Amino acid sequence: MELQERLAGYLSAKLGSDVRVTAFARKSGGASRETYLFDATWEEAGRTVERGYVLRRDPVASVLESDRTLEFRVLEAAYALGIPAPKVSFLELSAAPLERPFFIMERVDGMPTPPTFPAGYPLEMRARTAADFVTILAQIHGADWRSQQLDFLDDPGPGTAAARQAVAHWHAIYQQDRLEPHPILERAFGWLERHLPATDGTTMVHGDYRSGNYLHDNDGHITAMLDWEMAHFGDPHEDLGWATMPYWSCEGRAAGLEHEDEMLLRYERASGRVVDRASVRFYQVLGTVKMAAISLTGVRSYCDGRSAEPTLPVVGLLLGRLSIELLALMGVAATPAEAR
Amino acid sequence: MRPDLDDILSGVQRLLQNDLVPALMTTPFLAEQAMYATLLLEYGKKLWPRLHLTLAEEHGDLRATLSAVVAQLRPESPAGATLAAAVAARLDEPADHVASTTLDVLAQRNAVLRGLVSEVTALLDAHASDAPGAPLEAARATIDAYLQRHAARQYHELELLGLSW
Repeated sequence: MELQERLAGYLSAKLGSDVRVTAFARKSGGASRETYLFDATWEEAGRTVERGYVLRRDPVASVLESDRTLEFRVLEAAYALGIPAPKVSFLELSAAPLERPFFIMERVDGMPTPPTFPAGYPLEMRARTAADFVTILAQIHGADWRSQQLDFLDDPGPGTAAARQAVAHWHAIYQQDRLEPHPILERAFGWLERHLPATDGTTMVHGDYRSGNYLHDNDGHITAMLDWEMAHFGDPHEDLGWATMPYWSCEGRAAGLEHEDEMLLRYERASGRVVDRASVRFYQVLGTVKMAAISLTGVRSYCDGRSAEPTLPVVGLLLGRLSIELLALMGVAATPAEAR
Repeated sequence: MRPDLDDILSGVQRLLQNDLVPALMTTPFLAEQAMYATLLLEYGKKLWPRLHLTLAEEHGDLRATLSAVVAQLRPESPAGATLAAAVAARLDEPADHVASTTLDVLAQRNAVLRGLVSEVTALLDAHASDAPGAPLEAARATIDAYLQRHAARQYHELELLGLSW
């Protein structure tokens, strides 16, 4: 039976009504999970209900091994806290219905952007997106997540534990998935160990907060923040470092939106927090290492024969850019533009 | 006459571009995969003719870097002397001439030597708190200069993909 039919059967059982699934299409991207968009139609209390949904199914192999229960629960909490995020509907851990575990969430209106905000979009639109991008991040960092039964998430607490745990996490993934030694990454892990920043307190960290992971309307306002699978409690500077790191930058604008200094000042105003620039730099280095580790995970999946997706070796080649950016961030080499 | 590698990869590319991608346009996800496959074939076509030269150049760079580091590490500390001896032993191993070595063997040798660079990096990190001007700084400078050349080589490979990032 086709995936679309199986999905219709699953939803019919869940909703207690005969559900029709239409416009079912796999979406490009979605590197950590297979993502499908579809419309569902059913009868409820004598009326016809039609709703757009997104299916996020575990992949056979991916660039990021992540926990779909965590993503579902954090999305549920984000929605409850009033943060722009999709409303989740069903979590299925059994492989029986659709061959692999999955969850389903309601589709949010809006357009995606590439990993950097498109340079060709109008300036006013970019300004609105930049404002929303920072305001929502401040909202995430200020929300009372601990009221949301997320006890399964470890909280490293204040001090250097958050940074140390993050470095250890990505170092373990690097060691597990590398196919050969990468001296530049080894150099970076040593640098990170020597520059661990302390935080006054931990907050929810989105973990993948960047352009490309939100939807926006025609005016540039962000309608939903997506891809929460790397969410965790940690140092809020981690999201700032990831969002502003050179990899996601375009024409000198962090995340393709605005200059890094402007973005950090805007964040300080929106959050009431003081941003420590050295911590941001630390998390930019960590973010770049993390991106490298993610790309190596994809390459490992491809070379082990678990995936045939040609995007995985392409992503692996990005190590060439990440290496140059790492050396510049650590002060070992000139800026990426000069080094090329 | 028989097809060379370029002919073969170009043929597969034409099949993908002219027949498979148009047929897959109703399933954008698969069409995108086919386009990335075409991109990888182009990458292979550009990489392959120079791959032996590239690996040989890296091999020479690794040996020169490690030879310099051996001289810089040896007098500094027991740990430095031990690692210097290990690196020197590896560099002294008899090896076929690079030109007569197959690609896979050369790639493996480079990976081993890069592993030694990583070991030297770890040793330098362990001594990173030493006072400025400490003798290991010379080894650090040698390694960092190698890392920059290594990054430039990796970036050149990325450029072969023909995508702008």
